[in-house]
Amino acid sequence: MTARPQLPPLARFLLARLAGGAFTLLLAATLVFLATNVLPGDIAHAVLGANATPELVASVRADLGLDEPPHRRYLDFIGGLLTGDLGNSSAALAQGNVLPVADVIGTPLRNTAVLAAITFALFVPLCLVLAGVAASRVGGTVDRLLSGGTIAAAAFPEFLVATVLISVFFDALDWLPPLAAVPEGRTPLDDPLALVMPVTTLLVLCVATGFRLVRAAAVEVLAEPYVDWARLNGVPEATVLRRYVLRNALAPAVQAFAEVARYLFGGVIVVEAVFAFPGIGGLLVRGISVNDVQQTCVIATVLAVLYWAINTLADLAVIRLVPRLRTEASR
Amino acid sequence: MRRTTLRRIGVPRSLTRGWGLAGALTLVALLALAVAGPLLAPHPLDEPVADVGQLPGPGLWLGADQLGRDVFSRTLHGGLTTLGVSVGGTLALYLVGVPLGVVAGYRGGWVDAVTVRAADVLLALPGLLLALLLVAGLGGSGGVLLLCVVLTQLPALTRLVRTATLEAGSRAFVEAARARGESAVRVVGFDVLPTIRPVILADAGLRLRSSVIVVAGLNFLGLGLHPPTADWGLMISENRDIIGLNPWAALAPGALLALFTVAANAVGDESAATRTATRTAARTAAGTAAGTDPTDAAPTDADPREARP
Repeated sequence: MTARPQLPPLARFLLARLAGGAFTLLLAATLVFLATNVLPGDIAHAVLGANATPELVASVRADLGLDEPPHRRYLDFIGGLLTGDLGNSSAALAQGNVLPVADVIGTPLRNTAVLAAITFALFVPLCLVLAGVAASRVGGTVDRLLSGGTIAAAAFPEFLVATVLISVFFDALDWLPPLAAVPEGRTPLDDPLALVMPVTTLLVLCVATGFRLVRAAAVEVLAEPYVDWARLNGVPEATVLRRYVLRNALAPAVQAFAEVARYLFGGVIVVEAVFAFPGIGGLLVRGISVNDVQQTCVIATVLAVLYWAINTLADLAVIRLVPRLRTEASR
Repeated sequence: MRRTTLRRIGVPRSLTRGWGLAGALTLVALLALAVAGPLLAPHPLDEPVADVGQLPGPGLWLGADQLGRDVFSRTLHGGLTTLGVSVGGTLALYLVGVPLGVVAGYRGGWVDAVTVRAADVLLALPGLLLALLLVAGLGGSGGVLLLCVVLTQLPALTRLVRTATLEAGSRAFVEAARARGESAVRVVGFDVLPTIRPVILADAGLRLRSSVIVVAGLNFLGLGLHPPTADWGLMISENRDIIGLNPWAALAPGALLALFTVAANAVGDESAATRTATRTAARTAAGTAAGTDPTDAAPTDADPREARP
């Protein structure tokens, strides 16, 4: 028997996830390329309009590299991603300008990160408190109201929530601005009032998604014998909730938060479009509507990487919180 | 009596009472409205009949939209596109996803491996992103929207059906049928499919809701159907600018859309809850036979809302 050096389980888990992730992301990038490059739809035509002469279209296509065979363009795209060369915006190129995608996506990425971070920072405590309140009164009026309200809210498309908010808080009351545009060179935090409605929209939908999962976890923990034990020993209810219930419901709660974070991806894209917020989701939608192939590919790949990172981080957090999983993780 | 009749023709128990019944009736009513609506519309769709953003009045029940067209007529017309594509897409989703999941779960081997791998890759992209990429590649049209509905939810459904088939395939009566030498088609048709039917149908309502949200969302973003089509999602985005003049132009289609998603949600929620309750009752009755391992419950108790884009 040869004694092989053993990595700790957590490290093995991480290595396995990184290897699997690299493979999955490569396939995802391929999918992104296939969807945007191989399917019909020609940016040269889209930018130049229907009246463009065939010669003009041909020259723009050459500028864009569209006359190269697909496999060459695919290798260029993947190679570029690996070496950090994100290429140039196709829409700008078709108009004769060179605009590196890397320069275009930086600020929107930061803006979106700010929006998502604010939403998440408000969501986590709000969701924990609401779920705790509902779970400690299972079947009561408060619980039924909260559960019913979140089920109904979960069914609302985010653009509808945003539209209703705008019609109430801008058109009827005129308290809040309807758009959350950020001027050049400023950050979203310079105008906090404009962020209220986008953040509220996202918050409504996050709580609607997360509440039920966290509540279910808390209800389960509340039924455990050690909670009865603590209560019978006269531990104050607040302490029971904080020390016994919260700690043990945290692992499923983190999974619920990961679910919400995944969900934020779709929500953010729509909400940014509604409020004209200069984030990465809005940029993606605008890029698609002008057929900007390169920019769309890059943003989609960046989003896939972030999505994967969030999933992996959530799994790691759960493993940290549930000691039992630390040794099982690598199996 | 009536309930037994409904049950006999295959209507799930959850839809014959309470919120499930209310949701199901609302869905039927809205679908009927969407189909019959175009026949009832009093005004032409594409011609201005009043001032821009005129408020509701006699003969103009919901006022006028951003081009002075009749909101009432356009709302009656606008359900067919969204609901048609969503319902059709959800049906297509099941027609593709169920066979795929059953074959993967029953055959196993490389078919299974490829299916699971493909589903994982699709799940590596957020659902809405996948839909946006399809629209970017193919342009917006009813067919592409239908494809978006299918592809965004296919991986989750296929995996669900596959897991259920794996579970059913290891049951004694399925093994007995195999041992009798029955063909795979017979075993799947007579033993596996009836066993997994409740699992498959439990979240049909939630998938329908997700479908509507995808379709209406893409139309709202201006990446789906094009003006001057009368469509609820499109109407909401078109009339957002005149919400101060005539809020009904955006809120009327919005309310109907919300009614549909909430009703689909109620149906899905009730059938999922009934199913969990039945399972729990069965397990308690069966004692330890159903297995005391808590992980046993994991695949079906997983939240079906994961499919939400």
